[in-house]
Amino acid sequence: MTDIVDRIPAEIEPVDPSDPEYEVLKAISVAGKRNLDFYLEHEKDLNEQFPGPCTILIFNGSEATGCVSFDEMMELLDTLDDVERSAALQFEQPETGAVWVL
Amino acid sequence: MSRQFPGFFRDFGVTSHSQLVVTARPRVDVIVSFGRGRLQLPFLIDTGADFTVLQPDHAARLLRDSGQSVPEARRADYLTINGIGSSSERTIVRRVGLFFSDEDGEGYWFSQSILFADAASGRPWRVPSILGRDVLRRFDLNLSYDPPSVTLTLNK
Repeated sequence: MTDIVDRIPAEIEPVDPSDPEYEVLKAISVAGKRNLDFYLEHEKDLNEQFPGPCTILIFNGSEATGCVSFDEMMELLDTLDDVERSAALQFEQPETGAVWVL
Repeated sequence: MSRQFPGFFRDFGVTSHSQLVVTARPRVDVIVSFGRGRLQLPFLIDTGADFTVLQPDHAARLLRDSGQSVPEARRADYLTINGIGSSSERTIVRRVGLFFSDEDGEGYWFSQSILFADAASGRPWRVPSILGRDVLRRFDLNLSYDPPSVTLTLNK
């Protein structure tokens, strides 16, 4: 039997939690969780409000919009502070009836 | 000792065909860091994907925040990925930090090389970024539709 070999180096290097970056990432995670909770609570309404093709953007814990273009999305993201910008969630809305086979 | 990292299902609510059963898609939130850029992404869990792939908009967001861009990569860096049928896309390999939050809000953070899809390769992808087996292999993946549950467990 042939050995399975990764084609890309994928060694895992755990990072020290005392690294200051760890607290920044935790803050983003907390803000992102608020955005996700908001999305999951309003998922059906948001999917109806922003039909595809577009990207649904959830930000500031309780705000949502549908962006058709990348530039439009970046323009909005640039108005947010660093943590909220990193924590803003993108959900892709394909055209109606599209089927994914990834 | 084990740590659990909860995921979620995203309903897509559109019936493609009256005879097809619509099934929610398993997701997990992960923060990807690259240089000065940090981005929280609801990855699609894809056990059929060899590698983790940032879709072009996500890659472009992260590269822009980090002060880099895909076109600056040398052509030799490109790696082609293949999907269903004849579809293929250009990617580059970049080492990133991946930050998972457990059920208590504490993080698990490690660095790994993943694929960035080329934002300049054409029409937008209306699909999520994909968490492939290169990352999933670190976890005990539990996926249940009845009852609905998505959990990555780190056994140490």
